[in-house]
Amino acid sequence: MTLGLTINALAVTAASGRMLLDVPKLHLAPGSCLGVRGPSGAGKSTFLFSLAGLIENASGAVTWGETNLLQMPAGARAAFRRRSVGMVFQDFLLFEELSASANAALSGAYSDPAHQKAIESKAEEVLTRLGISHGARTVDSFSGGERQRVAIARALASDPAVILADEPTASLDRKTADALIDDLLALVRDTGKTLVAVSHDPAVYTRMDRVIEIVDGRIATDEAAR
Amino acid sequence: MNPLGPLYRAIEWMPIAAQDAVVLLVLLLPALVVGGLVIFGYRPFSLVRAMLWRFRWTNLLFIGLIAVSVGIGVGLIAQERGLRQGTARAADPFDLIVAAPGSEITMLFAAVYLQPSDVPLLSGDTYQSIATAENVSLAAPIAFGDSYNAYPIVGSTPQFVTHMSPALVEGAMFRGHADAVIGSGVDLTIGATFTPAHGVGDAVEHDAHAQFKYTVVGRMQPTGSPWDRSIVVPVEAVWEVHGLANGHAPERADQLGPPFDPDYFPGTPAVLVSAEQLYANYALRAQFQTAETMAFFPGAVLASLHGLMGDVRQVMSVMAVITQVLVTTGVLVGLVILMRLFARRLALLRALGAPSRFVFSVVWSYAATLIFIGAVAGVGVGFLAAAIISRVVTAQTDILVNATLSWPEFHLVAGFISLTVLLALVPAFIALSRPVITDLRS
Amino acid sequence: MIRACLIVLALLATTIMAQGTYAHGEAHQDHDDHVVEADGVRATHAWANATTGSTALVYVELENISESAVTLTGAETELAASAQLVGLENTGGELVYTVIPQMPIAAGSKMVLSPNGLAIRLEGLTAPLVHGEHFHIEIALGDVHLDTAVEIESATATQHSHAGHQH
Repeated sequence: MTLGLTINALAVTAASGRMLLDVPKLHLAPGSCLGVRGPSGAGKSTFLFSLAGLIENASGAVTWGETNLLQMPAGARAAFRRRSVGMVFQDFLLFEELSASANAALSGAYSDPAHQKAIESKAEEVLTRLGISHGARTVDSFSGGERQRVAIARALASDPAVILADEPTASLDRKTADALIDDLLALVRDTGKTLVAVSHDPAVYTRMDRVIEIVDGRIATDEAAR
Repeated sequence: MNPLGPLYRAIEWMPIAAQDAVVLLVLLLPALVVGGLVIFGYRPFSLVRAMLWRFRWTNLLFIGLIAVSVGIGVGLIAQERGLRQGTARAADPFDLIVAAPGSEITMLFAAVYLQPSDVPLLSGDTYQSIATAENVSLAAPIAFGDSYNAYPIVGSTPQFVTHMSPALVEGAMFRGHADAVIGSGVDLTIGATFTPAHGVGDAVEHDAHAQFKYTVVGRMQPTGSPWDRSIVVPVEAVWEVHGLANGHAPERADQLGPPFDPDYFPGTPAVLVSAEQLYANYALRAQFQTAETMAFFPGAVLASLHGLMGDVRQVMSVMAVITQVLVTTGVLVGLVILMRLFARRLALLRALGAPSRFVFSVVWSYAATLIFIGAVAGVGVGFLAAAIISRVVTAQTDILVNATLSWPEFHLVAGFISLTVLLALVPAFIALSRPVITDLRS
Repeated sequence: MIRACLIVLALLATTIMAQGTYAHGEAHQDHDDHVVEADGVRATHAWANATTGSTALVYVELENISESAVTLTGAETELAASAQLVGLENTGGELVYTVIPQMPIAAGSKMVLSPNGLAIRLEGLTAPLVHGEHFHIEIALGDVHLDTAVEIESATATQHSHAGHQH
């Protein structure tokens, strides 16, 4: 399954009243890859978390396929993320004391038993494809690149339609970062998933289909990648 | 009074062990139900194990705190029961005590637990009427007042020694007026001689009986009572030492033990009376409840005291639970603080779309695991505490106390677990109320 | 240590007993309710503790004012499946009530059934014993049968509310 994104009049304001994000309109085709760049503090992460339905005081419409996240209660938004969204973070956010396999199949702990099996086999499949052959080892002995691969496996294990990545290469060296983004894009494109990746790293956003630049909470540029 | 009373009454048709097991389950039921509801459908334990391991030293400290508070609480309550059983066991040989009218409790202390006391004496005629009463199988004078090296010396008869210790572990019964049979814990050897001192404890006069010497001829079996530190001598000798007639007419002056001649009987503070049949003991008690004599069962006096201690026990139980709950609350507050360290991981779970109830179950299971391990370890600490306190109490009182944990303590621990795992819902709720994005970026 | 414990408990006991005698001043009804006499045997102040359980102990003062000994053999009540004379016994440190098949009461003597001593044990109670109510019990002393009312005192009472009163 693939999902496209439609944003209408998305606005996020801080408790102080300051405008954090203002996106009047944005459409993203199903299966496309969007890079989000911009200076620090410009609202990139707020934009990304809004797409996941994690920002509480957002108004407007963030619609994935037919589902407008902003009109749903928190429980339903969590259920949507569980089903349709995989997330990758800058500093991996793994459970250090768990094995790579257990980390990758984390969502199995709270899914129904039938689904749990599918998650576990998918997690193993992705780990193998990403070259992690020692899945039984706890991740505290892993390098940064290996950890981010485990995190990517975790994001893909429940076979979501959407991957949201927040600075996925920021903690990695150049060579590792390049290899990782190649792998991520290959995985996403192979399965027709929609990817939104926030990054400072030109090596990341230049490989996307389309790049938007957010400055002061607004989309300053929106263009096809070079 | 006892909140479990109605439950026990509802299941009193069951065997005792089954009743106790059912009560244990009922007490654990709130914990099991809450646990079942919180965890149902999820598998939080690999995460919980990982989190427990990450902060293992802090968790060990929390578990230790819970274990020590639970252990000392149940250890003390077990001790109270052990003390009741120990005092009753020590009083077991004393079927019926007849003494001059006064305080039963004073006489109980003096005759059964050998605590020094000045009490009036029973006359020879009174003794005679006791000794010749129907159904009496043993009427032994218990004449206390002298001591040697803090060991009380008690004058009585060979029949009394046999009543206390059917066989001697070494030596033989006294045959002469200067012979003595010692309790199992008396630090003297067979053949040793000693001079009695008048009085016991601080009031002792060492030289009062300087001309007299006893020889140890036998040693009694352990009784688990203060009598293990007693020296039993012929009552005739006690009277002679004090310059009194020795209970027998001059022509029979060498006789040892009953029958005594009322005309030459100087008096005894107490008489141990024993009958073969229980009804006869009660009949004798009724018979000797008179203006001149007081008759009582040490067991009955103890039962009255235990009745009062029953209230003390309930208060102790409540205080033990309150203490344990306070310690656990402290631990849970510690957990709330610890949860800040976990906040990022919990936020991650919520960002990934984990249901709130799953995150809740992770936090609750974490706290419940600490509580459960702490409580189980507390049972171990309790066994140890009960054994140590028993040893100290036994050494201090000479009353053998064998306290060990039993159903009431297990019930207490079960109640404690149920109460505190309910309290553990609080940190779980607090963890849910934290902001996801803020924690995720922290 | 044990002495200190026991002294404290003894003081407690004295206080409670003092409260017990004080309580008797309140009610002053018809004394005839509390004394039953037949064939030279008198039963006074029968009472029991309130309970919702299935067993209860009945206490009573029995006085043989006849010229010959009588023997207490048992009791009967509609309220319970069985009624037996029992006596508290110390068996190796366990204080338990043991059945006493018969209990002689000498001519001119008194036998007091009181807590932590002798009692008539009722088993299989068919109704709870409610404080303030009373029930009837038939005490068998050989051929003599005494039908007396048993006052139900509070669950924690240690004596009849009229105890100490001379009838």
